[in-house]
Order: sequence, then C-alpha cells, then structure tokens
Amino acid sequence: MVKYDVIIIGGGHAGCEAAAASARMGAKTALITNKIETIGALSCNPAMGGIGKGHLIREIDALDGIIGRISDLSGIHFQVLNKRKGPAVQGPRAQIDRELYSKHMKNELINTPLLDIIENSVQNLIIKQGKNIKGVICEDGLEVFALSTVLTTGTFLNGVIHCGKKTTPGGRIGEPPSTGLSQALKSFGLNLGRLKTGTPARLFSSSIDFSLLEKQDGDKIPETFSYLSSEIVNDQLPCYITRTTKETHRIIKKNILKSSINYGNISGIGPRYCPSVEDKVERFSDKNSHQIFLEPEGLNSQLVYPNGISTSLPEKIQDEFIKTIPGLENVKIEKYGYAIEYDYIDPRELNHCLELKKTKGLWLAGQINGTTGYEEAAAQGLIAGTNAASKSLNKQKLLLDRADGYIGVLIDDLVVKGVSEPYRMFTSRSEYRLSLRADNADERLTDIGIKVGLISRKRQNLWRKKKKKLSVIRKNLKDLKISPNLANKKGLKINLDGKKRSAFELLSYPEIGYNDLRIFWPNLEDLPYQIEKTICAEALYDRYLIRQQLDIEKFRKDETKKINPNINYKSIVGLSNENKEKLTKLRPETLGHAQRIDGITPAAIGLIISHLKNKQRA
Amino acid sequence: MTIYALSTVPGKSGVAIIRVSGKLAKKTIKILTKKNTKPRNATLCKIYDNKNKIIDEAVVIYYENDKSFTGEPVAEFQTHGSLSVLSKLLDELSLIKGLRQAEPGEFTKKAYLSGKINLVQAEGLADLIDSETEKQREQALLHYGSEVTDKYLRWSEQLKTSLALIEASIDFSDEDIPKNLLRDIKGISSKIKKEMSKFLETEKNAHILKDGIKIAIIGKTNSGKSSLINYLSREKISIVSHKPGTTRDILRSQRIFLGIPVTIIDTAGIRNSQDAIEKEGLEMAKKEQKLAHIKVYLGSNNEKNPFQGVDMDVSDNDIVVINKTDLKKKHNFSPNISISLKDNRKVSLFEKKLEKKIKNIASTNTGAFLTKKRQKTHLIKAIELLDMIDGSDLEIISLHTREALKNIDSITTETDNEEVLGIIFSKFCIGK
Repeated sequence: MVKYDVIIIGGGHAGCEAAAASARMGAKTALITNKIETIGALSCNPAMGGIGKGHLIREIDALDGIIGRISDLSGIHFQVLNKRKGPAVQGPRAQIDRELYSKHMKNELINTPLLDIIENSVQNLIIKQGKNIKGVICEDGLEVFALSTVLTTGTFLNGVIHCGKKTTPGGRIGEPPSTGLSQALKSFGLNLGRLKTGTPARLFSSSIDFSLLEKQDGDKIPETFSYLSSEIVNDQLPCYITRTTKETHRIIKKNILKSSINYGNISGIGPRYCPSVEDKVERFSDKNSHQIFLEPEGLNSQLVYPNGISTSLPEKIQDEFIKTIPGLENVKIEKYGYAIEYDYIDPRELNHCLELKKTKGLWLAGQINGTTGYEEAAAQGLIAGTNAASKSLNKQKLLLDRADGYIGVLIDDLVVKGVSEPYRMFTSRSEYRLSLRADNADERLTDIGIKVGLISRKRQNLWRKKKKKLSVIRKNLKDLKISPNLANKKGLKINLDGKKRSAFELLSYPEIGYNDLRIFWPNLEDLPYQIEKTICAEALYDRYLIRQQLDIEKFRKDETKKINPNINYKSIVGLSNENKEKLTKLRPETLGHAQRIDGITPAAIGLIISHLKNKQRA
Repeated sequence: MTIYALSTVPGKSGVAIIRVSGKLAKKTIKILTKKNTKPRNATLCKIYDNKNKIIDEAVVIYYENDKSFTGEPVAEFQTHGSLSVLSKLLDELSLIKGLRQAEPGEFTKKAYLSGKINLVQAEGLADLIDSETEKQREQALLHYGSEVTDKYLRWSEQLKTSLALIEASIDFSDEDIPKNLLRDIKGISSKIKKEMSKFLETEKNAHILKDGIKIAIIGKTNSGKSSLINYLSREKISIVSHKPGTTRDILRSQRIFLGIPVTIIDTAGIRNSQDAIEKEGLEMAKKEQKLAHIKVYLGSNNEKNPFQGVDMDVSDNDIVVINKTDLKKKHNFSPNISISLKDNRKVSLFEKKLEKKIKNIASTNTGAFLTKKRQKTHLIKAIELLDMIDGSDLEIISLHTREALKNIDSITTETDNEEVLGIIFSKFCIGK
C-alpha cells in the first residue's frame, strides 16, 4: 500500500502545476501519469501567454508557480501583445520550443522535493462511505492512497479523435482515452457535457517558401514571464504571416460536408474564439482571406505550426487546401489536423477551491472543467493542488476573488456561471481590468501566497525587496513637486493654475515617461524595468484606480452577504420557476454569487434580499 | 408574507375593492367565502366573518401567479363601499394568520420585483394615478407603457454593441479584426450621446406639464386686470371696483387650457404709491412677471398713455391688449387686440389668441418627456461619461462605456439600492 498526502492524476499543464503547488505546500505528493515522456507536452500550439493568458502566467508566477519559469527557459520568440495599447491590456507571449519545455518541466518536477512521479494508468477511484475519495487503483492493481486527489485528465475523458470520416478513441493523437474514470465520475451523479477542440496539420519547415512572406520578429528587448528569470537563454526565431486565398475557401466550401462535424460525428461544442478553418469560411463568408501565423516548433525542430487553420477535414482535402496558401505551395505535411471531442464536467459542480461539492476529497482542474488553453489549465492546477494540500495538511485554503486576479475571475466564472463552450481567458472578463495588470501580479498575490504557505524562501526574499523598493519610489515621486511655472519654463505645457504637480502626477501625462522626469529632477535614480512599468501604469490610471477601488469594496461587501444554504427558493413568491430551479440547483453561497448567475435578473436578487430580510425579522 | 389593503378611496362609495396579494390569496378567498373560485372569473360570493355571519355580498376574482398585476396570486374583493363593511372585512383579514396590511406602494413594488414592470413603468404608474390633466395622463402612459422603457433599452443595447467592439479590439488585437473599429466605437457613442442630450432637453416640457404655464397680467392700476382674470377663470376671484389699487396682493387662478394647467396671475396695478403693503405687492408683481411664460399687458382705451410707468418687455409669447373699447379712445397705440371686458367685445377672440400662445409653448415638443429626477441624474451621468470618451486608450474608453451602460441600466432596474426603491414606491398610496 502506497500512501501520500495528495495524488495528482495527469501530467499536463494543470497536473504539473498542481503537483508542484501541492509539494510546495509541504504535502507528500504523487503525480500519476500514463507516460512520463509526455509530461509538459504542448498538444496544441507551441506558444504561451497572450492577452489575458499572459496575465494568468504572471499571476501563477506571483504564487511561485512553475509555468512562467519553464516558459522563459524554453522561449524562442518573446513578444508583448497590445504594446501600443495601455499597460492594463498588454500581455506577454512567447513561442515555445516543445522539446525544451517538456524537458525543463520534467526536470523541474523530478527535482521537486516531496514529489514522486508514478508512471501508471489510473483505472478507478477508491471510494469509502459512498462519497469519500480515499485514493486510486491503477491498471496493474497498484493502490495509491491519499486524503486528497486532484483529477487533471484534460481531453482524455471519453476522448474521440476525428479526421474526416475517421474516428478513433484517444485523448491525444496516439494515446488511449480514459474511460474507467468517466464511469466513476458519472456514478457520483455529476453533470457531464461534451466539448470539442481542434488542431491544424504540422508542416515541414524545409518545404515552406518563406521568402515572400511577412516576417515577424520578437521584441528587441524580450520581457520574461517570471520575476525569477533574469534573462532569455535561447536564440530567438521569427514567425511568418501568410493568409488563406479565395482558392483555399473554394476548396473548403466544396468539401465542407466532409468535415467531421458535418458527418454528424461530433456533437460537442467548439470554441467560438478559435474556430476551425471550415467554421471560419462558413461563418464569415464575406471575408475572402484569413490570417495564418507560421510558428516555429523549436530550435532544432523541423516543424512549423500553422496557427489559424485547425481542421477536421479528411487528409486528402487538407493536402489540397493547404497548398493554395502562399508559401505553402509545395508543403509537406508531417501530421494532419484533427478535431478531438471529450467529456467535461459541469464546473458548477465545484466550489471555489475547485473541489467537487458532491464528494469529499476530489478536486478537478484543467480542460476537464471545460476550459481551453495551457494557462487556464495551469491556473486551475495551482488552485486545486494548493487546496488539496491544504485539506490534507489541515492548512489555510487559497481562495482568490475577482478583484484579486484573473485566476479569481476564471474560477468564479467556471463555478458560478459554468461553460457553454471551451472557456478562454480575456481581459474583458474582468470588471477591474485596470487594477489587474500583468505588471502588478506579485503585488496582488504574493502576500496571499505567503500567508497560505505556498511561496518559497527565495521568492519571498525577492518579493519583500521589490515591495520595499516600490513603496519608497512611490513616496519619493509623490513628494517631489514642481510648480506649473517652472514646468512650462522647462518645456512642459501644463495649465498655469498655480497648483504644484508631483513627479507622480507628471507621469500621468501620456507624453511623459520616467526618464523625462530627469528634465526636472536630474538626480532621479534608475529603476529596475519591472518597477518602472508598475509605477508608470499606476500614474497613468491613478484616478480610475481610485474609482475602481470603490467598486471593489462594494463587490467584496456583497461577497460577505451569505445566503443561508438551506434557503427554500421555492417559497419565494414572485421568483420565476426558471430562477427557482436554477438557484435551487446551484445554491449560490453569497448574494454576490447569485447576482452573477446567468439569467438571474436584478429583480430576482431584490426578491432574495427581501426574503432574507423577512427571515431575519421573523 | 401575504399583504392586503383597500385599493379604492376610503369612504362611502358604490363599490370598494380590497386586494390581497401573496401565497395565501387563494386560501383567503376560501376562508372568507367558503368557496374555491375559478381563476380570472368574477364570482358573486357571500363573505362570512369568523363566526359564520355574513358581512356582505361581493364579486370575488382570483388571479393566479403569472396572471396578476403583482406577479403573485392575487384575490380581489369588490364589496359595497360601506364604511362598516370595509372596516369589518379589514378586521377579518387581519385575523388570518400570515396576512398583514400592505405598505404604501407595496403591490407595485411586488410587481417590480417579480419582473412584471420595470422602474420607469412604476414611476409612470405613480404619475398616472396622480395625473389631473389630459397631458399629464398622456405622459404618464408613455412611461407606464413601453415607449420610454424602449428608449432606455435601445441605448443599453447600443452601448453593449459598442462595448463588444471595444473588447474585441483589445482581446483579439493579434487576430484578424477590422482596423477602423475605434472610429465606429466613437461614432456609436456620439450618436447615443446626442439622443440622450435631446431627451434630457425635454425635461423643460415636463416642468410645464407638472407646474403648468404661467400667465401674468400686467398693467396700470384700474386697467381691468381683475376683470380679465375673473373672466378667464370663469369665476369671481378678484374684487372689481373702480377704485384704483383695489388689488394689492397677487391673485392666482388655475385653469386647464387644452389639457394643460395654466396659472393666471393678477398682479397689483402699477402706480406710484407710498403705501408699504402696496409697495411690497408691486415688488412681488415684478418677480412674477419674470417667471411668467406669457405676459398679458393690459391698458385702458381712455388714457392718453395706457402703459405709462409699465416696464414693457414684449416677446413673441406676450400679448398687448387695450381694454375698455366701450370708452372713448384717447391714445395712438397699436395693440395686438382691443377688447371691452364690460360688454365682452372681442373677448373670445382674445381668448383664442391666448390659447394659441399656450399651445405654442406646450407643443414645442411631442412624444415622451423626461419627467423624473432619478432618471435625469443617471442620464446626465451617462452623458458625462460618454463625453469623457476621447483619445485612443481603449481600456479607458471601455471603462467609461461600461459605467455609462450601468447608469442607463439602473434607470430601468435598480438591484440592491433599497433606498432608491423605497423612494419610488413610497410615492404610491396604500393599496397600490
């Protein structure tokens, strides 16, 4: 009999982050995976981060997670997206070398204290008293016990791969699905749904003519994901941009009925945000061209990932339409694109710790909860792994709310609203976007992480130094003052209203950067890049941040208004039957949650409020 | 809680209606009539007290959940409007466990909370009940109906469209999205802003609607001002005498012209006087003149200088009138009209002229007006926020747009602001 504090099932992005977090918490952790070799595999595009997603990586890093550091070690093309827009919506992104990522991730986990990696296939859960999960049984009969188990099986639950008319059971191309766990989960009476996602063909780079294509280099000064990474270690490679043509669209339209989805093979709902090329051609029929990024798969890889043409058309048709794309006329395909369909569990079955409400001791993270994306998976892994460890060790829970960060937004959206299509992070999902920036993730989260015991010594020390520096700089910049008269003399046109401006206030003028302040204060010290970025963003958004802070306070007040878990919604007269049913099923914990449930109208909230008040009076 | 109240005016009347709303409505009918009545059918029933004695005979109607005004089960008892029947029946209701007397506006509040009506409609309903003139009733109905609500919902939809474009430009900037979105976004918000500002301007019409149009009658002493006001108001509200200076105070008369309340103000005559009271009256008269929408300058036909000492400031809406054409003309003045109040010469023509002026002022705008301060506050805020949309920082533009949207949405639905809801619904009487 093998015993651990925490078991993590699955070695994808959620599983890796969960395992690392659980071990950091001090829990003896077992990571069980079908194949050690595929740990940290990037099954879809070879890239990390982006708008919203980059924010998530920074937040995971602020909680001492590993995805940011491993990405920095494996990055081959760094670029901050939305550079021309405001700091709140800028997202760091990088092309990743697949091989390096997987290698560094394995290396990281193997060297993580308290963490064992077990290569085995989990067949079933060990359940006591109907709903207490005590551990797992593997294919070869091995039993592993733990108080807490985290399930991160991605697309492997009843996974089916589609390519044209062909369908094969599988979780990833060439790997079998897990069907036993699906059965176990169904036995808990959980609500399961079906989703699909797709991936494009992989191309041999030697067969591509890049000479006529638009080249896109990474940033001259690359920005790392992790505060712990001091530099970029790998050579940087460019991406190329090409586009579909009228001929591409003609071929796809002609053969659209041969796409798996149109065979009636696929019933799952795909992501609206990252549609297959046949979806794009059909839905946006007025556009006669779509953009494709040709992304390198690695420094030593011969492959290119054509981002933008994921498909489940038959292989022959893929061959045909890809060759109509400029640069790809003579292309050789290494692996054809396919669609994958899989079970997900309605995330409304989870609480904000990502633990299933109907059982005890089982956490879910990643694509199994209906999300898409490595970063979304890793963020959930971090939360589930930390809380699984907290439960086993009897430590404090890690709960993040919508004002703490995008991780909080992600989890709240999942467990309160559920998903109707694969969930991807966007900055527009946050109500407090100006406060939740990639540059201030550590300020928002690291202290919370320290409190629950998730943060290593090394990062604690680095963070404390940075925090001190930030507060000193803020004070200095607010203390340095200049009269408008003097400012005008030095060439800065501001209102001559006699009101002195602080250096911090001057930074809020779009045309003034930190270095420009030296015109007025020549002795101003040089700032580390990250600190300068944070200070400038704060100055720029200052007046809005004050307003946002008030909103946050109001939001947090509603979050404290608990709804009695035994409330009888059926007895609230005036509430529509639909709302009664929804509320009874979902049982929101606070008035705040109730407000965020889809279809719950403000008037319905009013009824709940007055119901709660009447109960108080009675 | 199930609530009940007398919904008609308390006092003696032909019929009185008592309404019960809530879970126990059906049970209440059963208790009082010993019958189960068919939903939405008028049923004549005997009403019994708890000692099985008949209180009255009444028409009883039961409305199910979604078919009632409040969105709850409702029972209506149409009894004889007798003080004794009503007091007995209300007593009986108070004895039923789980029933309590409704607070003012509570029925309407329930209708709002159950989603039957929104706040704009609730405010319209309050106005409808309070309306006295035809125009007020028309306006109230525009608010209670869908006209005004649709306006707000349309802005809300348009702001949401704009937000979708803004967010797409932010979150999908690395993907294929149209390039000129910023122009479209600004176009939408400036269009909405214009419409909102236009609606905001209709507020002055609402003032006229509520407080009516003011007409000041101005002239020297003894020019017949009091006679004119008596004529216009069809009653004797001013003492008429030949003695100059009879009217020292300000006299007002209310009358409805074309469905618009009109206040006619008879000011003290203008003359040099040492009398302190009369002097004060004159000061007040001047103030009233300034506030008046229409000024009627009145002079006497038999004076050489009919408007001597009168501070004349004649605008398009004013009328200059010479009275006493029954007497010999002594002036060279050319007024808008000459009349004789004594023998009613051309008086009705004058009245027609006056009506035309009133119509002019009242009908500068048709359609719905902005009538509520609460709505105005949100509207102004939304306009201010849309005004702040400038430059190209999309995350800031998004912030303002979201905030503006929130303000517009608050006009029709206020979630958790108990205070605001309290103010709106307490304006109703009990039983509504």
